[in-house]
Amino acid sequence: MRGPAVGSISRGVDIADDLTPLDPAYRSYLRARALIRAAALLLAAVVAEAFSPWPTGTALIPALLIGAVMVVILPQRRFARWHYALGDDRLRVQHGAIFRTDTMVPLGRVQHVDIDQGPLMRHWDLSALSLHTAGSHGETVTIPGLRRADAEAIRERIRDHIRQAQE
Amino acid sequence: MSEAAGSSGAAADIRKLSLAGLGAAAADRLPRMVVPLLGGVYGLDKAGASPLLIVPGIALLALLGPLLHWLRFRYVLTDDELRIEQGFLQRSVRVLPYDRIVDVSIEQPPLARLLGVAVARFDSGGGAGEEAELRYVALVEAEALRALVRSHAAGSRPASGSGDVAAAEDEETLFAMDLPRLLTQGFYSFSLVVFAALLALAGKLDFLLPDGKALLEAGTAVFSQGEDRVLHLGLGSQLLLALAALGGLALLGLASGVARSLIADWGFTLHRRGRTLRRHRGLFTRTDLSVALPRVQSAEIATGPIRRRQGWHRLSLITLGGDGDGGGAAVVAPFAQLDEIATIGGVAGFSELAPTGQQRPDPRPRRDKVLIMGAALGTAALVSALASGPPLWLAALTYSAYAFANWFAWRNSARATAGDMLYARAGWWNNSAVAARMINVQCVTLRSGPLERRYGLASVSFGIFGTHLTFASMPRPEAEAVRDAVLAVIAPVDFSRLNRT
Repeated sequence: MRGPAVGSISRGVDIADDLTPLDPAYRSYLRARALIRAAALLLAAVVAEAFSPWPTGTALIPALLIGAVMVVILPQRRFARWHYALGDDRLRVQHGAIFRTDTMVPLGRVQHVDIDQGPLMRHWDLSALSLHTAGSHGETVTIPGLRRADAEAIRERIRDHIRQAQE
Repeated sequence: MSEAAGSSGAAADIRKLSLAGLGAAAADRLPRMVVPLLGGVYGLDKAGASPLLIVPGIALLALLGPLLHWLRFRYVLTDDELRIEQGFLQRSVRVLPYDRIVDVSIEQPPLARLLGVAVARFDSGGGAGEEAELRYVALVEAEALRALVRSHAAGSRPASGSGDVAAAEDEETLFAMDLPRLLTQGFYSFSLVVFAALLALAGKLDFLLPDGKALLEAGTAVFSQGEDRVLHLGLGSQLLLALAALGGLALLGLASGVARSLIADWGFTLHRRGRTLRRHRGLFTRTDLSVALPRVQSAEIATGPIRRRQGWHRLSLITLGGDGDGGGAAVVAPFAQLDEIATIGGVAGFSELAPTGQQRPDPRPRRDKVLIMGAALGTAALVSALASGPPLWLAALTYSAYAFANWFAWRNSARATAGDMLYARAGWWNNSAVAARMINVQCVTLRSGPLERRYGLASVSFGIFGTHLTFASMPRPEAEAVRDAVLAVIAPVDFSRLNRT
């Protein structure tokens, strides 16, 4: 079972059934991060209003609107665009809403794997998995929101694959 | 040190740097001795002694450092590694197993050439600046060391002289640059940048240039013409002289191009010897670079807008690990015709460097982009013109240049697959084509922006060591097909299985 038939003028990356979305906790994490940023924006707006001769609301209202979009709409959209699939010999990662990318990395070509976890991510037990290959010019292939255990499982799969190939 | 000596047994072969090389090493230090030199001359002059006494003094001083270095420097060849021991107070020992040495490059600055010595540099794939080097060994010694390392890389067994003899018979010349070729390259290297710089300089230093009035006076003197005659000719002559001055600058720009060509590529030769290419070049500093063919990842064929019309191209090979010449790209033919490039490419494993059946990207996303830019720029220009900003014609001119560059970029872009080769060409002014074997692709990315999606298009980027290879704006099903074809080739082959001799 693949996605919509190729050949039709598709509206972008067709998400096949066998692709996995990120962990739903990632959406919560994105939302929390957006909340912190929106709070900072709001604070800046309040300060600007207090020290400027503008009528009340000129900074506060746009800041509130932008903050609302950042917290309510964007996390869901960003979360929904991320998908990955781990096949027998390759990893596939899709993301992006406006500029969409769909990357495939053969496991045998992975040079090293990083698992990163920030303090906020740790709260949801999330981590980011990055694959480095010799051909990616420093741009790594990253899956940002995986449960720590899932990220480690993928890393082990890749390690096993490489070990087998070298024997 | 002791355990290494123990493991290698009786085979350890302790050697020292060339004594003759001390002269070259001392010469390397001279630029740093300008201040003491001037101080010495001043001091001697004050003391009433002849300033010429400074010459032996400086020579001694310059020799002292290299001499101390020489005394405490030795290298040891064992069955399977090169060990470099150095340092006066703090000894350092560096061990380079032969099979970890990617390559040995040999460099000869001018004085070293006179003395018959060379710098042997051992690249272990660690990156630029990390190479171990033997600063001045005899040239024959440098070549012997290289042969030793090579024989290990090729056979993974201890070196023996006979293998090298057999390899030497195999040697063939692939490409060479003669004087006419060097001069032609020089003419094409005429750079607008240099010309502009010269022009700017001429503005500052116009007293150096023959200015109209002075020349006119000189001309008057030479031809002993009457004053009225000169006045009569005044305007035309002035114009002529201005043109002559501009021509002179152009000539200077041309001369700089020729000089650069001669200095960099004098005596350029490219040989094939077994599984390596060897490149020699340089007028003052001779360099001897080798490219291990199994490590070659991609080829780049670059050309400019004018030289392209005469079929002149530059071929570089990009190898894994980095080979001195700037991040792994080695120029193996600086100025060659496509048939010559095809020969070299064939040797390097690129069956096709100018494939037929090349296709241009779909023009529609780029056209839309130019139109959108036009609408945005047009509005901005109108608003700004109404507010008495820059005039409209300036915006129109800028926009036409932008549109033209985009059209040119589209026209000069192409993609092709030929057998197991991928090929892509791009660049609106300086055009460069990249060719690579599918097996050397490391990852594949499909991208699509909103304009591409409108027409059901996508771009495919192939991740290849040290370069970019992108098939721009192609029909999405085709993009997926080529992605899948490449993945089918690369997924079963582990990275460690690549680049084997």
